[in-house]
Amino acid sequence: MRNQSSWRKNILTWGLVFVGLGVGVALLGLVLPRLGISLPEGLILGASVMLLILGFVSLLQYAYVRANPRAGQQMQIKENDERLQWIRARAGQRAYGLSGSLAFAVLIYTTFAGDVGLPALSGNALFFSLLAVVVIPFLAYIGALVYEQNHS
Amino acid sequence: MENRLEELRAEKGWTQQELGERVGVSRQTIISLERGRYNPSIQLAFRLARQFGIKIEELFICHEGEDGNA
Repeated sequence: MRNQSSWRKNILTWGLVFVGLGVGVALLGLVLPRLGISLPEGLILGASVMLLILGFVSLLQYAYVRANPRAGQQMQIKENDERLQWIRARAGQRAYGLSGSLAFAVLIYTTFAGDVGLPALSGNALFFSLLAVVVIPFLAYIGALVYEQNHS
Repeated sequence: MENRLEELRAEKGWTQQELGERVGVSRQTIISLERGRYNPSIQLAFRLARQFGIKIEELFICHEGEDGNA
């Protein structure tokens, strides 16, 4: 296990990287339209806000663990705990299998539905099918995490 | 797989939290190990055995035909 100061430094580095990227993306959003390159405003704003939030959360975490070394030690232990890693891996494996199966089912359906007289997936139905392919495995992942936490 | 973790920890007078900190795992992991619901990695088994100053086979008792983590 890494020592606590290098673990803390890692949190600080990621915080600064995310804040830097957030500021960089925001500046790009301001500068590029003036150079005649139009970018979707919402996308730029969303990306920069997300990066800045990630950065500030890491910086806050860094400040907290620096001020409370004992709490930092606990956080580091939790992050590297082998049982938790095993649980996450197991839950991820289940979600991955489910995601693959759902994606395959949607793909087969959209490809062959017309051939056997089933209604084709288009518009909202296609959107919600793809949404389900993303959301259902995520929920299964969370469920598996909770289950494994209580049963292992 | 059985183990003598709880017994040896009690002998030393350590809490689950304390033992967890000594070997770099959470208290929940120590609880799972003591209840036999989780089998440790070989590295963790070595770290635990070292803490008690005994051999792995004195700490963990693996019966024939037993699997790893289910």
